[in-house]
Order: sequence, then structure tokens, then C-alpha cells
Amino acid sequence: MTLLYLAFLAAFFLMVRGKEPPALALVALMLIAVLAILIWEATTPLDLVF
Amino acid sequence: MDNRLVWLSRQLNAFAAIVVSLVLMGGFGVQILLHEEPCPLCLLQRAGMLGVISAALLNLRFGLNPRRYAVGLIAALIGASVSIRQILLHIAPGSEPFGSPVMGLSLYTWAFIVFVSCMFGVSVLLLFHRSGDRARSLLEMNRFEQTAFALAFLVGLGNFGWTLVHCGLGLCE
Repeated sequence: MTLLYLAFLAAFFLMVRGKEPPALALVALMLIAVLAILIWEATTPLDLVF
Repeated sequence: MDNRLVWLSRQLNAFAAIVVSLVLMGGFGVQILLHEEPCPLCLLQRAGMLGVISAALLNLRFGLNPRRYAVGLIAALIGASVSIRQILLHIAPGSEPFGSPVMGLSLYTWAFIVFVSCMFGVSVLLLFHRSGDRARSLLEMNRFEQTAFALAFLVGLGNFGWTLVHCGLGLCE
């Protein structure tokens, strides 16, 4: 989870420095990771949610 | 007319980034004041909101563009999926709601409302989209737009710091 927020912070700094493609790629990576964790959580019997 | 629409769209993007940042700060407030630790799905919803904020900031920094609005829509859709998953888990027979309700609704229900509002707002902005905006540095932006950047940074840093201390680099359990 921490890496998701790290990706956002890195994308933020890239945005401020004017580097759009890597910033957009990091945001996309963050969203893909969120979706992947959601699918993983919903399809495994681990008690991750409460 | 087109310039006014571009200006208005920029301000609405800044407004969206500020509102979603304030929602995330509200979540932090509940966490600190009511001593409620966020669950893994809550952290994923926060990441979805940061995705929505990122799309608005990209629009402000590099100019309004339908591709960046699409990023905002996808982020809101993914965030809403996580919220729906949590709502469905807690309306199942025999399950209890998670956390204290705020104004009668659980935080994950509020998160779903926020994501749907974002989808609606981005759709309206796309409906009135006009090309002609350009990339601007932070110094070229007005105070309102700069505030959106500052709040987004604070919220991102706060979430990163808290999660790093409590969960390390792995999944929060």
C-alpha cells in the first residue's frame, strides 16, 4: 500500500518538473496496482478485509 | 467565449482536486480523532482518490486534454469498484458495518458517493471541453490552482508517512 502512495508522490514531483509521460505512467501504474490488489483480495480466501 | 470556458474548466479542475484532498483530510481527521485505523480496502479507496486528484493536476499543469480526463474517469471507476466491494461485504447478512458512521453513512459509502460525483463532474467537464489550453508552470498558475497542488502534496505525503510507519512496505493487515 505504501508503494501506491510513493508512486503518487513521485508522479507529483514529475508533474511539477514538467515531465508528463513518466508522471502519467506512474499514475497508470498506481491505478493498475489498485485494481490488481482488489481482484486479488476478492478472489483469495485471505481475511484481508474487516 | 472559448477562453472563458477554458478558464472555468481549469478552476473546476482545481476545485475538484481541492475538494477530494479535503475529503482525504477528513478521513485522516476521523482516523486521528476517533482512533480508527483504516482497513486495506480504505487505503485502496484513498489511492483511487489520489488518482482522481492526479488527473486534475495533470490537466492544470499540462493543459486541458480529454486523455487526462479519461485518467480521472478510470481512477474514479476503480475507486468506486473498491467502495462497492466494501459496501457489499458489509451489507451481507450477519455482517456488521465497519467503523463509526459519519452523518449516518459509513466512510466507504461516502467514498462511493465521492467517486460517482467525480465521474459525473468529469463527464460534464468533457461535455464542455474546448481545446486551446497550454502547459503552465506552478508560478504561472493563480493562487487557487497553486492551492490545489499544495493540498494534494500534503495529502499524498500524509498518507505515505502514515502507511510507511504502520504497514512498512507490504500490505496492511
